[in-house]
Amino acid sequence: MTSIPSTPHNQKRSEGPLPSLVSTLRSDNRDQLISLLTMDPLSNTLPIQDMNNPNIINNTGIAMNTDKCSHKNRLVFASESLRSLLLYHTLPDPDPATRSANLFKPKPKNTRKNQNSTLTHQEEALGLTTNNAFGIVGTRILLDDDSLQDNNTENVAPGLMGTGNGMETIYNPSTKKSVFSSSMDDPRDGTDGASVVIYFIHPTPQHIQAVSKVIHQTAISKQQHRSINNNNPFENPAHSHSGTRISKHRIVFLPRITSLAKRIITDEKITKRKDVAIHSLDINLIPMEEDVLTCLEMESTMAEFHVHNTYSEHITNVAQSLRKVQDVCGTIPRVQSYGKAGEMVLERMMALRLEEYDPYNQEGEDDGQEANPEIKAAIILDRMVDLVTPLVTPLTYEGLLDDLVKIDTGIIKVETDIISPPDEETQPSGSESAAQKRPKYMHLPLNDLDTLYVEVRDQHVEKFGSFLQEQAKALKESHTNFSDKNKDLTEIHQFVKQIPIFTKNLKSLTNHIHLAEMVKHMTEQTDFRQRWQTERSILESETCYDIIEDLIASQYPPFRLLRLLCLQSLTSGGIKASKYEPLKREVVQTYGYEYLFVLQNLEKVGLLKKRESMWDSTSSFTTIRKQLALIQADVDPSDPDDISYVSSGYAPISVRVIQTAMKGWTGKEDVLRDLPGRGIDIVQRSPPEDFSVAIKRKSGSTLGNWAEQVSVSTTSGSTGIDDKPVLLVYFVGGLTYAEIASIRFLSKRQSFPYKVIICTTKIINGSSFLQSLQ
Amino acid sequence: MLRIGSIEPSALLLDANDAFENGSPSSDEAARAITRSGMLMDAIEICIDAAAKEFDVAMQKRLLKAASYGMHFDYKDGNTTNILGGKTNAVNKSNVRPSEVALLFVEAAKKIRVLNALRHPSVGIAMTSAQYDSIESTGVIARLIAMKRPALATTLATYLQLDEAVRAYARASRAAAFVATDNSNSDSETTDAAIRILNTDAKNPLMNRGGYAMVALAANKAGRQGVANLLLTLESSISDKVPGLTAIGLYSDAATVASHAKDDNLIFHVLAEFEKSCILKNIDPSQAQVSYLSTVVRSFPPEAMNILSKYFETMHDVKHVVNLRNSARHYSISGTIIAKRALDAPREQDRLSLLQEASRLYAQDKDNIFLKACTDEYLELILEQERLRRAFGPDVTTKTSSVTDTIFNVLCYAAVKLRDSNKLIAESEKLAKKFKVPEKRLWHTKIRAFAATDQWKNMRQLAESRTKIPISFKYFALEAIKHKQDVSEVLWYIQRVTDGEERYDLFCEAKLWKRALDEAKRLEDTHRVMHIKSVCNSTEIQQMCDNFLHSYA
Repeated sequence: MTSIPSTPHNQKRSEGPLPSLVSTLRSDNRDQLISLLTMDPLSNTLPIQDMNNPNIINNTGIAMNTDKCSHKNRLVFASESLRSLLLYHTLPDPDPATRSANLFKPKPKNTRKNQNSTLTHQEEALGLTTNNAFGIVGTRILLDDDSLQDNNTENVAPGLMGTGNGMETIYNPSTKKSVFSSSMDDPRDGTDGASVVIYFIHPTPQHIQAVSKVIHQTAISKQQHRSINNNNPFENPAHSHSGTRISKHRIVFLPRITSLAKRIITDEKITKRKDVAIHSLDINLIPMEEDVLTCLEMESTMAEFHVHNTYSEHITNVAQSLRKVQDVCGTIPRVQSYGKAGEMVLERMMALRLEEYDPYNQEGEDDGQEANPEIKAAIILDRMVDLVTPLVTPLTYEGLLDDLVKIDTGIIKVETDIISPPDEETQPSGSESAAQKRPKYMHLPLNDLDTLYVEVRDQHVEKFGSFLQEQAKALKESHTNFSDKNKDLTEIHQFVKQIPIFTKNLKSLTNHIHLAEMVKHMTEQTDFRQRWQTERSILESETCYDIIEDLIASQYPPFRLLRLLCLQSLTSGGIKASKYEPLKREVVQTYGYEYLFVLQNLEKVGLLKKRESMWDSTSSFTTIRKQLALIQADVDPSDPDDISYVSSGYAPISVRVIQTAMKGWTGKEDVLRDLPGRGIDIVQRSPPEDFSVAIKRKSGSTLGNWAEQVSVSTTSGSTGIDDKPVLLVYFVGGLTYAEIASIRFLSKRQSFPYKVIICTTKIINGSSFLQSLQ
Repeated sequence: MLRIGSIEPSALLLDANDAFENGSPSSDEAARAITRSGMLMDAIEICIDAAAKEFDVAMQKRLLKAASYGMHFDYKDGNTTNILGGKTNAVNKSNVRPSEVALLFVEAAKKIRVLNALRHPSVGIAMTSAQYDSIESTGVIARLIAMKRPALATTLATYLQLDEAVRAYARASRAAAFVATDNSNSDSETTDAAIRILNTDAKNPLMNRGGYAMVALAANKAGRQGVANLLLTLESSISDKVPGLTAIGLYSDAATVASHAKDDNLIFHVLAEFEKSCILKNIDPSQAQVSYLSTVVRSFPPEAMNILSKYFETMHDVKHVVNLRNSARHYSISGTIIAKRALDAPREQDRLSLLQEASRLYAQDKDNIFLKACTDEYLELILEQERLRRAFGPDVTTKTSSVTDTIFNVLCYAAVKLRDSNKLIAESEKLAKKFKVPEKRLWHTKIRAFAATDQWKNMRQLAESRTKIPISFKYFALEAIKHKQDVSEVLWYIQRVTDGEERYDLFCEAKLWKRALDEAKRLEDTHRVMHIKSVCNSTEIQQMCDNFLHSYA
């Protein structure tokens, strides 16, 4: 009997640590989004969800009435990340079966469809179809994410970076996010027939001002049509032929509208307009995977905290997202926090609970969920606790893809030629036009719907190559096995049934082999190896000023360089005083005056500083490194027994902190003292208490013991990995793929007392982290 | 039933009671007659009902007494001693089994008391029993509070054992009324009294959330700011406390509380309220602005100022935010804001003047020396670029803000304007000197520029210009390899690299496998040899590798 070998990726995908939370959040987010999309164009306020009205949505989150939305929506998103978060991660049917079926749906190759389709390749990659049920006729990106991709410049001769258009080619940190995206000037504007434009933005001044500019421009261009005076550069000629009238602009704030935003909107004079409606969608946590949830990929969190020193807005967002989790899963009985922001989130979260609490109506609070919450403990980590890890190059497949190519909200954008090399498809006739038809870039989703990817994502660079090879062999074997022998009908039938899985796996496998080849190629370059070696030397508290100077002199990509510079500062307690200003001067003179402010902000965050004392040989990092055993050079990357495999021997501080929290901090007080902020440990009770009251109480046991206590009280005797209690880890200020890999590694191990669900404000890597600080 | 000559059971019961009151022995007989008729319960209920509907107190009493009297006969279990205590004792806890009619009786009695209290001339709500039933007790309390009779409301709410929320609200209103009228006592005495009112029979401290703020607002209205202040310190609900503090004019305290609670909306609310009050207080708008900014800087928490700054930054006019930052002596921030605007300025002239302004701001604080130095340097760079453009034409350099790039551009231009080649190279030296570019970086820039524009002759000249050059020949070689120069050119540089391992790397980079192998052999490094074997893709070299590995083993 031939069947597809039961390689891991043929198995049904494993469930996440807490499927109920993920599916509840997914359907709630989806309901909110759909009711906004299907809202009557004339109405200004969201209807209160009416369960009796089948036209809206029933409580399972599926639109009951499949009639199409009667009007056409054009969606404008503040950034590409927001678009994929809402279109790819929120809008589709939350049922995993249908989602994964669509993932590798072969795209029709004929060009006929492309002519009719009003959607771009990118939009289709996000799962949007023509004639969708929500009347979406197209999407735009409001502002260009014009952050310089260091990777792109690596291919160009470094020196050529500054030539050409001069300042525009260099990433200009000061004008970041103030440039309108070219997609705002889309030829489809005139022909898509949209009557409603929906703007999805965050409550930041830049977003609001950009939206208001667009809305005012639309009004001006309308008037200009009438006066046949059409020399507005913003205006697209296509407009003049169309009868499209935008009857409503909806400005949608995620996750909420702030008072500051309200004030700015008022100042921008768009609140009084009849064709403008303002909403906020209470969507904060979006599940990107079964075990990873993101608080809207808010990239400015760290900058708001440490550069602008405005904590409240983002602390509130995070605290509210945690409240939402607890509304679904019950109050988390035990919460620890590390770092100042962690403490603030915890305090705010408890205050919110207190505010919502109705002392006169305690029955509602004390229902079954309270007695047996689904999440037994939580750790809130401030990114400040571990600034080192994001700067270190990860060596897992996923980490490298992100570091070298960048994964944005679970979607990777690669050149089409890499995934399907042109020679596979070149046709003799009209190869030129075919090349034009082929989009230069294609978007591939990378997440847990792709069972093969789940297997390979967290593997070390030394391992994933051979792993993929084995998979390929296994697939081929099953294929040849079949064609070799004579089969009876049932066997043929059996095989045919498996063909869809087979093609799906094949497609996924080819994709990953191509991607892995690319990664492998990049990691074998001298440049990459040198970088990794420098990082390692710095992590072992060596000083590498000469290397850094040489790199600046040879115009090394700026943010790559700054990563090394900051790493050096963090690990050796600051940059040597005699080297400090000269190095900064080198950076400014080489990369431009704009980088003066980049440096200024790095200093504000504490990533870069002058070493104060002359004899500071034992920096706090050295203590942490030794006490937490960060460097484990002898870890075996292909069969790891420690999280340090994620970068060939360096264990992320943040995850070590989580590990240590399990055993308790006794004996490691030095580390706790050297970490910024303080460690907080709180038991949440009912009725809710104030943070200041709760903190006075000693919680006693370690988180490890706690796990035993809670599991004894609920399920006795079972010791399977699936029966471990759930721990929620929230990274305030972002986390890296290396950290996700380490946490997953722990979560799967018997010796770690919990299975972990990860929340964060954004998934970051070294470069995006440093860039977000502007 | 009160009709003359009525023979309703209830009327009979009333008569019986009257007789009982008068000491007539016929009363018992009459009552038993009703009991025997089986209508006793009806009679009692009707009496109770009638009492509730009756306005005359004497008549109410008479009817209730009749009902009570009738109830004696309802108890047949001989447990009379308990019942004889009177109407309230009917629900005495010792009575294990209050009958339904007894409960009805007590309810009615309560209701009558409440209604009578309401009907008292000093209150003046002439309410019928039916009206009372329809608005319910909570409604009555609300009306009383609205009528400014909070004390009565509190008493009633407690008496009726109403919902905790209603009682807390009633207490708060009472306390509010108390502080509003109490003028004789000192602030602390009044506060204590108010707190006492609030805490009477409050079981859970959470129940008074919001209450203190409400009382404080009343106190403030009555001109007792001290009381308000004291009360607000006890308030635990931030969303009530902050508006409270704002209302009594303690803006900075309000902002501090809001900032501590991490509520951005409240912080902004306080700022907006404070701005309004500043505008109201000062007739001159600019004066108002000045006092607004200086107070925010002086006594508001830092976060409030930062939020205000964020708001001001959205304005087209940079003046506001710069004023704010300057009055806080945050010159590094105001300077940076100006400098960033300079970078966005489309016109050269604006850019220069803004940069000068930024430099001036940086100069205010000696901690900003580095910022100022860089700004001044950029200003000079712009002038230098101008000069170069005048001398060599507009394409000599782009408008880059990088000194290195400027030098690079000038050197590249040497390949375009061959006539001025030497002059341009000299200019690059001049620039490097002027901006104190370290030699290392200058040389790196030179080789990159020469390589990018195929000035290999100049590159060789540079390499030969000194006996000891500041950077390794490695970089020359790498550029030559990258731009696919002849093997001889590449070799010329590699051979001048002193370090064997570096030479090996360079040979690999240039794919000169044979030489790389020689180098590896010299280093006696089997790993390197194996590496060559795996990547060289040539059987001949692989054979040589094997030979070496063999002999070495």
